[in-house]
Amino acid sequence: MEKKILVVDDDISILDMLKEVFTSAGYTVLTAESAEDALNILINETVMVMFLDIRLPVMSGIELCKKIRMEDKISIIHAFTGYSSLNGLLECRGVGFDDFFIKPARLEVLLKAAQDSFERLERWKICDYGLG
Amino acid sequence: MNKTLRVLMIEDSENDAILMSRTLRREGYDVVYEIVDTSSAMRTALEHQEWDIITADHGMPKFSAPEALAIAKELRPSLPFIIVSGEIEINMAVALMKGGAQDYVRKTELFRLVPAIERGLKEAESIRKRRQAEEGLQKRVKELNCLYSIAYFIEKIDSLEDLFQSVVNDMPHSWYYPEHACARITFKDQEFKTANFQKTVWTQSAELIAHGKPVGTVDICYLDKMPDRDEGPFIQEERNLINAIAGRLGRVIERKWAEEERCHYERLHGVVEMAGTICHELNQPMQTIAGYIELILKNTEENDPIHVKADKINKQLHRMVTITEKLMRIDNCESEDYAGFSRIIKFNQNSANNAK
Repeated sequence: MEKKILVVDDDISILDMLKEVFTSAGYTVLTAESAEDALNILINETVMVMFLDIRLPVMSGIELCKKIRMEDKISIIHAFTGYSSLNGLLECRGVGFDDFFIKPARLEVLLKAAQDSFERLERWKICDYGLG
Repeated sequence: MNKTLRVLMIEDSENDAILMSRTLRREGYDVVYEIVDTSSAMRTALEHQEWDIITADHGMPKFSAPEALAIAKELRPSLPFIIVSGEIEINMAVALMKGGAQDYVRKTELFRLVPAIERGLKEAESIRKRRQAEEGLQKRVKELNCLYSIAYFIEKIDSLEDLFQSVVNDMPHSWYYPEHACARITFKDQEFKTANFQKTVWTQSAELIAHGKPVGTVDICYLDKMPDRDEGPFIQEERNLINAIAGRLGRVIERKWAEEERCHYERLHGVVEMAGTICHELNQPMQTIAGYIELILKNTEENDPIHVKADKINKQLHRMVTITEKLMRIDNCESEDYAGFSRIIKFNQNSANNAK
């Protein structure tokens, strides 16, 4: 299985940095600067691990996650936010985010999250069902 | 059933007194009477007993009707006063009537006595009722004036302290003996009082209650002993008034508290929103910096000068991260002095409590 990660953030410097980090860790990285771009990518690509910024222009990360979850209940979606509170956490868990990271997060933590996600997907044997 | 009639007779002839009382009894009265024929005896009788009517003879050796009338008007101005005498000069009769005597009955025409007395009693009763109504009205006007000024103060005065002081200064005017009255309001550990305030045994108090809890008292004291009324020297209307004052002030306190709470909340809300914006704006670039520094640290040897410098940058960056973490946990908006020229939100302390 190709280990593909989708990173969505309107801050290009963050996209660049994460792309470098995940690529050098052996992942295929797709990036999008807006929710709309991300949805377009997902039309053609099957991505099972994602990192979504919460505060995006036009459609927020919350809305984006809701939209993805309408069709996809399996993929592992991480929220990645510049600001949070208990309400933010509740909102994220409510719309179907699996995990929640507050910026600035250490690369170690993000890499561990990516690694754990793929291990989980493997354990679920989603490839056997023609997913992933 | 016979009506009791208490008659004070200014009379020197016991026979005439008996004659009068017999006339009254015949008309159905239970007569209780006392005869006096000197001014001192009359004073004593008026001061120590209750009477329904005074009758006065004119020609007595030691006393006269005009003298008796003067004493009656001085001590019991509302008591009906009827001249029952032998023939008196017309000018004298007119003078007595002008001076306040209700009627003049000749002793030879005692059949006129009962109608005269009845008219006198009726007149006295209506005067008494009118006076009572006037007094009631006056009390009511005082009460309304006081409540009106309080409503005015509440509308015009913003601080509770100034409001309490104004109410306290105004209160004594509304009590029955304003020149002997003083007032005080206690609220938490504060005290507001009239300049002449002194706690005495003649005190009327009401509790100030806000949100069901006692927060102070409203007191009015008389500085001197006054005649006993409904509640010590105070009348029922004054009890109602002090309760009404305390009730209104209690509601003002509650409103003030709610306003303060709302202000605090609005301010906090603004601070929290601002903190959120700052966190977001700072955390974005910090993520990029932190990421690249971590990459440099990972890809260089520990003794590499670049590694050493990157490590230093990393430590400073983590100081900044701690600050945005604290900002995200702000839950209070108390401010503190900043170098004497400004005030800033006391946020280290807040977050210290929350960081645990």
